[in-house]
Amino acid sequence: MGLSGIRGWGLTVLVLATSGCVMARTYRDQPLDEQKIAGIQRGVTTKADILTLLGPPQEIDARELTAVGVSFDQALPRPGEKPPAERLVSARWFRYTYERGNGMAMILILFNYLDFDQKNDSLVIFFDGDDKVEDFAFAKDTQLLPRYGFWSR
Amino acid sequence: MCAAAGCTIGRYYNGAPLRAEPSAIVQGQSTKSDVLRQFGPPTQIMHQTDGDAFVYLYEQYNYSSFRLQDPITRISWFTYSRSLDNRDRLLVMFDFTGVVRGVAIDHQVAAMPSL
Repeated sequence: MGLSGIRGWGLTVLVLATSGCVMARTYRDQPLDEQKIAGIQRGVTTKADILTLLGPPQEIDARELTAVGVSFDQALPRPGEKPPAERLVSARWFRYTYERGNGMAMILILFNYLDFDQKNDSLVIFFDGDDKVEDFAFAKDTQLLPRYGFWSR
Repeated sequence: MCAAAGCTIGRYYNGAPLRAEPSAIVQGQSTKSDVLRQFGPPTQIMHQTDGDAFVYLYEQYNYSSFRLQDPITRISWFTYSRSLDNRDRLLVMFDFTGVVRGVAIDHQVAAMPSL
């Protein structure tokens, strides 16, 4: 190995020694129970059943509330906040979510790479005029998250 | 002249790509149930005076920068950065009976330059 080869290896070792890797994981709320979701029946399950089964939703329809003078911000609960029962009475749809984010970064001397991916599991339930489930849709997008950013994309 | 140069590349992804082809939605024929089954829960649900509207979003943000810096004083001599924030958007509008009366699609993410 010549002098240039030794210098090359030395530079590689220096770069590796002074570089860093970052991995990050973010979670918001709790995973949605798929067994409970499988028990929802169109035209049968009621709004009260849904609240008993899944608890307070992260987001509710605010149309009726805004119509009677309640502001949009007041109608939408913050994550983890339990909305008062009266806010749920006239809601035409509920949304339950579980959010995750995976991030990674490579911090090298001359090059940095950062990657962050945010996805959520979402369940939206629509109710008819009798407060029974009209329709619903569930998507488990968190399973699409790449584990190691760029490397597993 | 000695200078330290550095590159940064960043990627931010929010949401999931569309689950189906928008061509699967037929105006005047497809229903709200069909759209929910094919595309899953919408990102946004809006009420309009003549019916509801679903919005599906997938966002990608690309960032890249190049910086030339004095290695001793750390003063930046030159910085170039570029960020692109693009979204794939699908809007589906329904009439009061829940039948599709309008569809609009915008594919921006695939058209983004990698750097």
